[in-house]
Amino acid sequence: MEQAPHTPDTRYRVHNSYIWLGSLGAVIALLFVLLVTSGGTFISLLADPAEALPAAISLISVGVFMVVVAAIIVVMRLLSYKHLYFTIGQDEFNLFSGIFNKQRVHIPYARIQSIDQHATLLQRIFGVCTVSIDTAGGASNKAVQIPYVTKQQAEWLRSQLFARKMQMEQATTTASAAGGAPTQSGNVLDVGKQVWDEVGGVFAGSYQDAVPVTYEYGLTNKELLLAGISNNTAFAAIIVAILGVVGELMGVFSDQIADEGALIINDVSASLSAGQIISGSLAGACALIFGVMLIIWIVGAIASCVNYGGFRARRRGPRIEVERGLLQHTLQGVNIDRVQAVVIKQTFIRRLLGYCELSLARIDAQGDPSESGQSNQQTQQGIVIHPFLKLSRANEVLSGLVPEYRDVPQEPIALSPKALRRGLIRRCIWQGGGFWCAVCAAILQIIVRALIPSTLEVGPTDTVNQLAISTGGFTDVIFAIIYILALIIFIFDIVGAIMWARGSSFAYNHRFMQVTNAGLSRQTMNFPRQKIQYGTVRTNPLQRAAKTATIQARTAAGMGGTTIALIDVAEEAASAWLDWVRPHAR
Amino acid sequence: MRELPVNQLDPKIKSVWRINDAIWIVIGFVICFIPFAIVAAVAPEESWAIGVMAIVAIVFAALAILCIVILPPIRYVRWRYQLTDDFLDIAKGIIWKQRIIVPFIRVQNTDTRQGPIMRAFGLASVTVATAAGEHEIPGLAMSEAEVLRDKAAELARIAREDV
Repeated sequence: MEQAPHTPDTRYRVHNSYIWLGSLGAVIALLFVLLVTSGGTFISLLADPAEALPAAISLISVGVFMVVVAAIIVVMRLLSYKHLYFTIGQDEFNLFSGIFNKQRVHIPYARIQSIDQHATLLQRIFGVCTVSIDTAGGASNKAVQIPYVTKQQAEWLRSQLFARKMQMEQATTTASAAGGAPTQSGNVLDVGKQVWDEVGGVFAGSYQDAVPVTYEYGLTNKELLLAGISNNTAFAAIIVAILGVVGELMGVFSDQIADEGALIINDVSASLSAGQIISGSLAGACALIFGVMLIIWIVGAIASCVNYGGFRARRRGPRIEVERGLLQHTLQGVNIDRVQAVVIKQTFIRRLLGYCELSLARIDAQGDPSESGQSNQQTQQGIVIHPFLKLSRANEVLSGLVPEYRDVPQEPIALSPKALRRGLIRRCIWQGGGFWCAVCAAILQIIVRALIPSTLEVGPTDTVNQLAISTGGFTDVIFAIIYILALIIFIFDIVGAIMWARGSSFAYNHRFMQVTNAGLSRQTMNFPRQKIQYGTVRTNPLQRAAKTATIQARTAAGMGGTTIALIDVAEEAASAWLDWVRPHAR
Repeated sequence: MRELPVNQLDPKIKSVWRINDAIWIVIGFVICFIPFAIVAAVAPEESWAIGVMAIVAIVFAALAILCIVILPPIRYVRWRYQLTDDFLDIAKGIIWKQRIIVPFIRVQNTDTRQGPIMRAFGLASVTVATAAGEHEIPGLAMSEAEVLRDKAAELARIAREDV
C-alpha cells in the first residue's frame, strides 16, 4: 500500500481480494447447490436420450440462473468493497461500511484494548488477513473486524493505532523490559514460518515496526512436540477410550445375556463356543476403539503442533505480541496495562512431567464466529504466551516478557487447618463423582434385584428361570465393574482433595495478589491489585463453625469478568485480605 | 470479622419485599392449585386431587409464612452498607453471608432504579456497576438514593483509572 501523505480524512481501502476471495466462498457454495440440485436431471439426461431436450433446457436454465446469482454476489461484493473504508482521524479510528444501511464505527484511540490479526490458509496464501480491534466494551463487547487487509497494511495500522493511543495517553513511560539480546530458540516447524515470512503471500508486502523488540522466544522441538502430545485432546481421548471400552464390555455382556437366553432354550452346549466368539469380537472391538483413539490423539497432537508451529512471543515496547499457526496464522497482541492476570496452569499430565502453560488473561471480545471458528476457544483462555514450559523456567520467561510482574508476592498464606477435612468431605462426597456413581449403581442394583425374583415367580418354565439367573450373574459383573470404577474415581478425589488442601494458598503484597488452586491439576494466578474490580468474602454456616471463609477477587478478564476464588481460608486471613482490597489500606 | 458497615436500608423495604414475595407466591399458588381444582370439580370421584390440593396449600402457606413473616426482618437486619470516600462496603446474606468491597476507582457507572412497588413507598435502589458485574443497594429513600448515586458517581469520576 502506498503510504502517501496522511491526512485525517484519507480513506484507506482494504485489499481488492475482498471482492474475489470473499465471493469465492459464496460461489463455491453455489456450485455445490447446483451440482446437488441438477445432478438428478443430468443423470436422467444420460439415462434416457429421449428426454434429452427438456432436460438440457432445464439444465441450461439452472446454469444461467446460477451465473446470474453468482454475478449478483460479485457485484454486491464489489459495491460493499466500494463502501468499505477506514480513516485514521485526529482522535478516533473510523470504519465505514454498508451499501444501503450505512454503518460507521468510531473507536477513540484511548479505548483500543488490543489489535489482533487472523488469517485463514487461503487468506494467508494471498498475504491478507483480518484485523480485529478490540475495545473493552462491557459484557457483550464485539471486536471491530476489518477484513482482507494486506499484511503490510495491517502492521502499519497496528503501529499507527498504538502510536496514536500512546500519544493520547501521553504515556512517557519507557519500557522497563530487561534488556539483552532476544533469545533464539527454534524448532523444525519454524522453517514453515520462515518460508511464509520470505514468500509472505502474494500481496503481503513488508513493513518494519519502529519500536524495537526487547525480548523474544519461540518453542524448541521438544517443547513443541510435548505440547502437542500432552494437549487436552490427548487426555480427552484417553478418557473416551476407557469409557468406550467399558461401554463395549457392557454391550457385549448384555448381548451375551440375550444370546445365552436364546441358546439355553435351543442348546446349552452351544453357548460355550458362542462365548468364545463373543470374547474374540470383544477383543477386536477394544482394539478398534483404542486404534481410533490413538488416531484421534495423533491427529490432535499434529493439529496442536501445527497450531503452535511458528510460535513467537515477543515484547515490543509496552506491547506483548504472540504469533502462531503454521497454516492459519494468528497474531495476538495486548498492551501490558491491559493484562488482567498472568496464569500458570498445569494440567494433571503436565504436572507429572513438571511442565506448565503460561497465559495472559485479558478482556476478551467476541470475534466474528464465521471468521475465527475453532480459534474461538483459544481466545477465551486469554493469550497463551508459552504452551509448554518447564516450571523452573517460568520465572525466567515471565521476567523477560512481563517484567512488570516481577515482584509478585513471595510469602504464601496457606489454607486453614480445617480445610483438609472440609475439602475431603466436599470433593469426595458432595462433588465426588465416584461417590455419586456408587450411590446410583447401588440404587440401580437394588431395583434390579427387586425385579428379578418377580420374573422368577412369573416364569412358567425352567429355561426362563435359568435365563433370569444368568441375567442376575451378568448384572452383578457389570455392577462390580461400576463399583471398581467408582472406587478409582473416589481414590483420585481423595488424592486431589489432599493435594488441594496442602498446595492451595494465596498471597499479596503492596501491588500484587497471587492465588494458587491446587489439586490434581494446578493453577496459579498473579494479578495486580488495581485489576481487582471488587472483593468478596463469603461464608456459609459450616464455614462459620470451622472459622473459615471463601475469598473471591473479581477481575474483568475473559468475557464479562472472572472470579478468582479460594475456599476455606482462615477467617482472620480473609478479613485481613478484605482490608487490603479497601483502597485506603495501602 | 471486622465491625459491620453502619448504614441500614429504609425500614419500608420490608414491606416492599413482603408485597413482592406475596405476589410471586400467589402466582405460583394459582398455577399449581388451579389444575387440581379443575380436576376435582370435573371429576369428583378422583379423591387424590383433593389431597394434592391440600398439600399444595400447606406448602404455599409455609412458604408464605417464611417469606412474609420470618425472612424480611432478618434480611433487613443483615443488609448493611457503608459509603466511604474510597469504597463501598456491603454486608448481606442470612445463611451465606457476604462481605463485598467495591473500590470507587473501579466503578464504571451508577444509576437509580425504581419499580412500581418501590415507587408506591417512595423508595429506589442504587446500582453500582464495575467492569465485571454490578451491585445493587435496594430500598433507600428516594432523596437518599439520589445523594448516594451522585456521591458514588462523583467519587468514581475523581478516581477514574483505566480498566
